[in-house]
Amino acid sequence: MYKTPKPESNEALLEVAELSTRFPIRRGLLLRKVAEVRAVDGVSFSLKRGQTLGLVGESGCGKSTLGRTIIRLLEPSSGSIRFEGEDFLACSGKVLREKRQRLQMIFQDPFAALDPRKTVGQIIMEPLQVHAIGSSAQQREKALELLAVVGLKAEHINRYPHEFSGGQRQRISIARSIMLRPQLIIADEPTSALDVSVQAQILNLLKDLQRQFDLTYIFISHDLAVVEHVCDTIAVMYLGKIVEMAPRDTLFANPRHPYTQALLAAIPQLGRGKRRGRLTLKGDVPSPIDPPSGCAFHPRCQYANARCSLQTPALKAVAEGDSGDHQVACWLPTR
Amino acid sequence: MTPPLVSVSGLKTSFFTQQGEVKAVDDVSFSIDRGKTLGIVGESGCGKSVTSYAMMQLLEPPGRVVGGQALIDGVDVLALPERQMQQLRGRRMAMIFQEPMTALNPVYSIGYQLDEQIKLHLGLSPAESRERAIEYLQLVGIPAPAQRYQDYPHQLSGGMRQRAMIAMALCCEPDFLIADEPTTALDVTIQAQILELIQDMQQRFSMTVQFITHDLGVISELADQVMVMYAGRTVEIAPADSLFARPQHPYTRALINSLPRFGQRVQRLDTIEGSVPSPLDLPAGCAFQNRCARVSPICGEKPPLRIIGDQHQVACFNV
Repeated sequence: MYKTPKPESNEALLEVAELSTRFPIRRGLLLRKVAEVRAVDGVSFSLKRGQTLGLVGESGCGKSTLGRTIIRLLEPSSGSIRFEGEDFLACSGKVLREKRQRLQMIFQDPFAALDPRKTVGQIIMEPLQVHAIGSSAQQREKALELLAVVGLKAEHINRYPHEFSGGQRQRISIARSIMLRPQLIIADEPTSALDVSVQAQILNLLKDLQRQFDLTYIFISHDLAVVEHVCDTIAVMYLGKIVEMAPRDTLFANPRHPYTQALLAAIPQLGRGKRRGRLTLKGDVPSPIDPPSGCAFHPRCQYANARCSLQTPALKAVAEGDSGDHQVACWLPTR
Repeated sequence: MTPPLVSVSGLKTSFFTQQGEVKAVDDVSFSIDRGKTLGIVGESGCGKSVTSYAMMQLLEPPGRVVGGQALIDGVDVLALPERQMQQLRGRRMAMIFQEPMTALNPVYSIGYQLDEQIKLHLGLSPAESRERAIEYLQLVGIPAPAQRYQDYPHQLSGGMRQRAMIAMALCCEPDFLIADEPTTALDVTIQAQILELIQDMQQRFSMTVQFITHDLGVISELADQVMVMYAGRTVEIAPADSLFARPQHPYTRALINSLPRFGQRVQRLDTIEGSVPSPLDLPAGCAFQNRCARVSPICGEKPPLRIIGDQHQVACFNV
């Protein structure tokens, strides 16, 4: 019923190049386009099989829009997406439906993501029905198997979502997302709505499933400590752009972009003692409708100079004879 | 030695629902010294917010205080009639909330809402009120305060709204501030700004703060004393340093260990098996016994808080 291709090492499962998603803002009687929001603005990265890419940033940085664009819940304005070596944006109709089985999403709010009128069984069997896979007896068998995999009981199959706690609901969402044996799962803040002890259970489950099913993840989160725990590579976003991308250890040991540094300093940590005069960013994130000129971070950056407000820095490898996998978009990446 | 500004003892709060009595807060006692910060931490439903609402007399039916007292500067605020409570709220004790949009009135300007309480509590003239309101908007770091004074809440960003609400809480210089998850809805860099602001204001006005959050990191950077709650009861109270360095209660330990932390590279996080028991059906004795790795027959009895070290109290028989 399923075929799981053997993972080949170093093969890029997903390649995203110069991807942009813009939303028009329409005003007036004729709904003329008066401006646009550049939610995702020229993002490029590639992701190998079995790896986890973390997308971090504050609200409005475009991380969720990027996730939704990759899975084509939103259509990009420009750029390309190659998935399993093929042009994913060129897919349509039957081919697109077939491809979509291999790309799934887990959402932040497990209360909103599950239909309250359906039983757990109906919810997690729905993907099989949509794609007409197996007989109803086989579908039910599959559902029972996956309930066990995600740590729920067989008797839960006939219950409704409201009978479950937040953590259990997220387990149901996860069961649904792996039903079609996807290659890539985009998890959009999967633990943000959960209490810490439950968050730990869900993070462990996601790690177990990754090993068990050779999954590749894009993990979207605002919580750098969670991202550090689950991700191999981390991309930091600010106003629609990736400002720094690096393997986990490099990013935490040697953050180069002033925004990454500020983000790391801002996170409250256990046992660091009382907060006193630490590096605190001033001001708010600017509006993506009218982003600052040049480097979008320059109005909040303590190191900014004249060049930063005029020219936009590109995401480039940090010049240091390393493997080129630490990239930063800053004119002053020496700090 | 001066007595603590806040002293709560034996506080009991219940919700009388159709399914029965829910003991949201069950015999909670603590005190906070003048100018210090108590952090109350716990997961959803542990009673941390209800404790604070009870102290402000802001509980709505079917919730009701059923026992205990809460002395603030020697006055039991639980026993005060509403009229006297109104004179206290906003003047001597103030509260800030998680979601500023629900705490601010959308149909009045920020300035109007500040003026209202300054006039009421301090009896200033309209011109003086306006001046003071703008002064406080500036104090909490709102740029162009004279313009923002005229703005409505929806015109401000989330961080600015939170600042406006803090200005409102502080403008009559209360002795005691209750902060209920004031940074949970904010981004981390904005959260850092607000935490810094609260500490600045605390020093400036030598305020006593009760800070409620589910975020152990925030508590660790803010609190002098920490109280951990579980299922309506206090399981551990200790100075912050001691609590995070040497957590004693099995729940506190499990909570700390389940948190992903910087620089700590583990394959798997520790989890707490099972789930919080239903508040309608709490087990006799320790509420944590069904999830505890160190459970023993004695846990069928209710563990009292006992002192195990310098100001370190824990409600567990097995430590």
